[in-house]
Amino acid sequence: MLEPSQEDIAAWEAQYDLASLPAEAEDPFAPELTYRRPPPNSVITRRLPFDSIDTGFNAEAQTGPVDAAGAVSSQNNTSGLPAQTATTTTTTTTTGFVSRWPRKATATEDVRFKRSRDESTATDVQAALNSEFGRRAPTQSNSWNNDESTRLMGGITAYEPEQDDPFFDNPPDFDEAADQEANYYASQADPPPEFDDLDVADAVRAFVDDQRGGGGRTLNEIKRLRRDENASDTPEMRKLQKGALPDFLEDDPAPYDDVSDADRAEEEEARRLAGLPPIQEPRRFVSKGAQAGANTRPAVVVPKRSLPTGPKLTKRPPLKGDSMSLLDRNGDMWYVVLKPKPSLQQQQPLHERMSLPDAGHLLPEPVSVMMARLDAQRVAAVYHHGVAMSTTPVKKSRPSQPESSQLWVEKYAPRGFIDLISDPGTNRLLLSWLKQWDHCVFGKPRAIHFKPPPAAPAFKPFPASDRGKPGAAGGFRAAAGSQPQAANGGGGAHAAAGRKFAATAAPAESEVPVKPLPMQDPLDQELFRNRVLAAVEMSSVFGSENTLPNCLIIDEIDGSSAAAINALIAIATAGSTSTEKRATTGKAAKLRRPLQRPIICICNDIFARSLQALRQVALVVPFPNTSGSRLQTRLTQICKAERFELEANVLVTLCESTNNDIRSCINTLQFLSRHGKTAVSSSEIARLAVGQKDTQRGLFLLWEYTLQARSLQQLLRSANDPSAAMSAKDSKLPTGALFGESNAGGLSRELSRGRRLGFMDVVVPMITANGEYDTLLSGLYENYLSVRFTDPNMVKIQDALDWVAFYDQVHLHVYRNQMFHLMQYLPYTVAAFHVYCSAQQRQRLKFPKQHKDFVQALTQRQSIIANVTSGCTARVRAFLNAQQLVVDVASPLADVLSPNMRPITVQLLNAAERKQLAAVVDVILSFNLSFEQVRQFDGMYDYVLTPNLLDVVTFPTPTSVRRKLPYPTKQLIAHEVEIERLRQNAGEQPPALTPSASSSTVGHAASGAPPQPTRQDSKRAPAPNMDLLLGRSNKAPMPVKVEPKVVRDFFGRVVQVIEETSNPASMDASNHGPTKAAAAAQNALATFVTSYKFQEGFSNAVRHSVRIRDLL
Amino acid sequence: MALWVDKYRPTNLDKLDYNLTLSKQLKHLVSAGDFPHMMVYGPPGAGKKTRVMCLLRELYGPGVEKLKVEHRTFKTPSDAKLEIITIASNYHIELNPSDAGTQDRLVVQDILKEIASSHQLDTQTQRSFKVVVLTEVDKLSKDAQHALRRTMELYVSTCRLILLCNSTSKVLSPIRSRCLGIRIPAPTVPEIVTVLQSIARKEGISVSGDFATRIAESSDRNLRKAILSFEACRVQQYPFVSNQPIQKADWEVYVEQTASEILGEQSPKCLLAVRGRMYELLSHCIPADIIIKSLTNVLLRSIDRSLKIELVQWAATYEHRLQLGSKPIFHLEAFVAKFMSLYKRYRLNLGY
Repeated sequence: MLEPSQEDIAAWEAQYDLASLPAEAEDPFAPELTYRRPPPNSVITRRLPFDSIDTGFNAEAQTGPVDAAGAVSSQNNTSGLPAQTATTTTTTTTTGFVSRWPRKATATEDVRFKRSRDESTATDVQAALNSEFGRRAPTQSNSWNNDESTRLMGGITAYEPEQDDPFFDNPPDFDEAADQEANYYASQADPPPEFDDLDVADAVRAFVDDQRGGGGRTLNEIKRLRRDENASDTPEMRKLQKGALPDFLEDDPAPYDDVSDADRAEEEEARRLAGLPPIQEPRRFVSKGAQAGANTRPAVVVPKRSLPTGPKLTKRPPLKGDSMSLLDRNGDMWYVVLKPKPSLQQQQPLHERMSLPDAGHLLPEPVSVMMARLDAQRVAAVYHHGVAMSTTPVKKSRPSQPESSQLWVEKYAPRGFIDLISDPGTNRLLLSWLKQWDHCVFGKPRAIHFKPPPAAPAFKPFPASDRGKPGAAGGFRAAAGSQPQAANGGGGAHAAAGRKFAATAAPAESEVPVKPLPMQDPLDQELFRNRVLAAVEMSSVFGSENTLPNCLIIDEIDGSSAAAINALIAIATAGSTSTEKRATTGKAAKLRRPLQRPIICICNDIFARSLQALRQVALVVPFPNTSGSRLQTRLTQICKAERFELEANVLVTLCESTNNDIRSCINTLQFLSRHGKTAVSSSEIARLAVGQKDTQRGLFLLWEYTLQARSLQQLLRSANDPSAAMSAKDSKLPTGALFGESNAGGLSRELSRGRRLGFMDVVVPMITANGEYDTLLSGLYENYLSVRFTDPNMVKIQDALDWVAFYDQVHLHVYRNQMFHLMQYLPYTVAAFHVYCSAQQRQRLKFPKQHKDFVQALTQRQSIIANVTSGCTARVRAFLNAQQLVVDVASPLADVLSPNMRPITVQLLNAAERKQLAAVVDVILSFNLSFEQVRQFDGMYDYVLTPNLLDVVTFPTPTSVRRKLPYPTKQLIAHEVEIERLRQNAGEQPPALTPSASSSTVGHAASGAPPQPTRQDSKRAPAPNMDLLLGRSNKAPMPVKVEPKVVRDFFGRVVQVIEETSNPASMDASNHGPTKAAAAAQNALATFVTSYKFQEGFSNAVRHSVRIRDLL
Repeated sequence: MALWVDKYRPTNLDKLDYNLTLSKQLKHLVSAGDFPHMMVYGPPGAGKKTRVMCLLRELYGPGVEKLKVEHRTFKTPSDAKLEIITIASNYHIELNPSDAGTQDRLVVQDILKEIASSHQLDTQTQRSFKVVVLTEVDKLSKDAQHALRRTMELYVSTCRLILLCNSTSKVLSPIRSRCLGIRIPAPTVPEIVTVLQSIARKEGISVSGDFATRIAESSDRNLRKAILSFEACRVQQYPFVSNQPIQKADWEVYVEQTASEILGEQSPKCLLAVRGRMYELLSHCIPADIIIKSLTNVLLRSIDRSLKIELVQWAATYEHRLQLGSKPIFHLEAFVAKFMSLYKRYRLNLGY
């Protein structure tokens, strides 16, 4: 829990409207008010050196115009009841409150409640006060935003008992010891509180946690925690013991340190006078927070043990019953034994006083006996029926009391693993999965052999590679980092199948604290990552020595963004070998620590797109629908507990109509009970619109109904027999009724007229509700041909396809002209499929993907064609559009591009072949294609036409005898194309297209290495580059590889001198005569520093020896 | 220069090889100076575009051959960007508005406005108008055609339209009536043979009249196709042999395979297989109407005369539905199913 900062405190104070409190509240002597109590109990009083506002209540009691609390307290006084008021301030919320049962009004500056609990105690007591006074009108308008805090705050505003009723209704189980204690309290003639401390305190704490935002525990969790505390073996307890109370084994409480003897004597004296037993236990507490915050804000409640009914303090947690831990000023831990719920007899006086409806007093036997008997009955029931009955949920409700406003769903939520009614196998799987984490979380030996179910295909076994952790024993420990999370999902359809409770109960069973992290809010990815990391890597601040690790539960994960999921996966798979390499740089390196905590994600739709990646790394636990019988058993229990009588078949109907939706069932029951009905017949349930969610039927279900007569018959049978009482008579498909004119709303009317419902009545509304007409139709379209309906002449197929054509037409019209009212006719195409193409046989239906694949392939090829058409030269483009390219040109073009050529070097080609090569290169260039080297799947390299026009041309089945070019030929062509392209880009005149010129150009240009055989001028033929540089004469046009380009300076201006040599004119000149060209070249060389620039790939040129004569 | 089909494309009205009277008429038209809007139509590969380019050259001289490809972007009302490729010279601009899909109206209007709003600078020596060549007018949406109607009248002083299409049946009659319709008939087989032989002469290869005729016949009187397949044959094997196979386009072969599948078995299972093949054809960007047409042609070859009329009638019906809908696969499959049904009934009647 976070410590509030000073600002927070200030803010709270401001919020609590302290300024509006009367001046007396600030009076240091205000606490004296409390001394107006009748003498018997006010044994010791102490001056309260308040330095802050407190005693809101008392102040009000004096001055408040409608101060009912004060009125009652004075009434208490006059009636002689032992009621006392303690005045209090807490360090955080400066509030006053009145103790519930007689307590000495006392405050000491050094006594404070432990911070984490003080508010709850304060509000607890205040709530008790409120409950004593019943409903009260608001006495003071308050500017708080939060009703809850308003309500809990010192009796200032209205109290609504309904809100707190759950706490009335939810007393903790108490046992004999607690009972004795209760008796002890009762013996003090003390008006017993109407409800127990625990629940109020818990509620308050839950509330406070909520207020602080995040990380808080829910009420249920706290209750569970408290139950665990009773076993005094919970982490919190342990850490408290260890951290703050090293001597917790001591039996006797330590004597007071800081209460002076005089004080004690005084107190003893007072007690003696009052006829009370002497003090045995300490009574001073210092809130931890107050301790930290020095003594600037002292004054805290002191529920003095000297009072007969004050809380019992022990140095160690009580073995039985609830307790509350407090810290005294020395940092010693004390435990306040909380008072359990008193018996009904004890409540009686209070009831009388409050004129609340009596709960039936004068029981023939004590409650404890009744409880024990009830327990025994329950155990017997479990034993006999083998039914996992709830250990806690069945509670007594008081029928005469105003109905609890708590939802039954909350009230009867499973509190433990054994309470779960979802599929036991799944629950066990989840539990055993969680237990697997013991190995890496707690280092326990691996006890359970976890066998992932074969039904979980997405489950990825832990990587076998050991990361070499010390003490890694086997794959599991090593795989700790990549331990998959459980993505808890039910295939989409099963809402309220108990996923969440199972996910929460399983960790509880294995004693792991749960960290819920709801995902409803679209979280920033970074924020989400931080929160997850915070949850899995950190733990509670208190008693950090011995804390238990968390189990993170992320709810509604299917609503999250893919980025968040990726962040989650990064956390979950951090440190596993597969991601190790990736995570070496940057931010990802931070995540290298493997995940050490289990993460459970809950979702409805496991196939949500964002979860695609998560499915790969997580154990997917699909939650099947709850079984009807288990649900009915639970509903029966609830009805019994609520004294709501229903016949068994009503529950059956209810379960069926809600499709075994637990939440819906319970809510419906509560709804019915609220209407004051005590007996409901099954037909009423069937006709009730309540409880039937507007559920979307899955696509597969709709396809089944449409194409498979058998599933439709089942559906129609249940539709026609809502009470499920009638015998299932196979109804022939009412094809005639198909085009009947009944609307969905009047179904029951139709039924009552005796007409049987057909496809149109039942399924078409479902289709309309589903709304995904396109997917529905494409599913039908892709599946209908594999359905075996009788259609010897293919007439039905034609008819169905006519409907499809109609659909297509309407659909286009709707979207092109925005005439959406026409969409209402689209579902009837589906109905037509049912008429024509449904069959009795069951057929495996496939999800449509053909069309998607088609669109994908189409777009890919369209982009190829677009690339070709936009890339080709204007002259070609002018006479070519996309359709012509595909239909007429592409195939012959592909033929032209695969010439029959020997795969040898250019130099060895004969003239005809060179001509052909030149033509191919020319065509490739005019279409702006190229051959690019691509690594194939098998690791080999191949030249691929880019854009790959061949992909557009070729079909899966062989359609032509087009030869496939061998690799060397492609290489040759690719090389030629590159050279030619460079030449053109360099602004050189493209070679004339006369065959001789082009062939020799190509031939020469291609001569990377060996000189042309035709060359005659020099025996020691230098490389083409050298030729150019030296202006060496050559019969062929100059090679391209060198930079004949205009030399420019930094600013892009042409350098004049160089231009002379490098422009095409001089090239042409070189053709005329060697001497002239050589002279020009020498001129050029004289002007600039000799520099060599080699194109890559011409390494032989680098090694070439150059004579100085050549350079000069 | 690229493929033979581009390399040996005539650039002058005088050089055109066939439809000589038409060339002469066009020349007269140009010289008369009163140049109307034109609609040039005819089957693919008949030389519509070539003739239009020759005509433009006749109008403006060789400057019209300096073509440049431009990527123009348009903004749709919904702020989406639309890119259209235009081919333009100083005197004309050519675009294919059907590239713009549903926004073709916008493109047509914008381009026409832009072109028409600027007058030619030198009207003494030049024509006073520019020319806008719109290709594939039959694929224009009705909206765009209506828009065209008004624009044609509005800007007639500064620009002329030349509309190119395969068939006038898909063009609104108001537009047809505003244009001088020029039909370019497909070349006859002997004409194609002449063209092929002249190309062979220029390429310096020898081709027998027999082989040229075979090529011409297999090309469906589509000159482009004929020249391309001639070149393909040349690349594949030269010198030609008389029985050298003339390679058809791959998709045509695929359609033929499909047709034989349809004729082989008429069952839902076969229909499923055919659907896969149809998807394959469509994904290779072959337009659905061309698929129906060529499939019908192939089927017509191998069915009884009594079925032929019905087949053609249904082919037309489904081709029409194709135009009305947006998912061609439905209609292709419906057509195949229809034919299967017809053919099956026919075979049963025969007593197979």
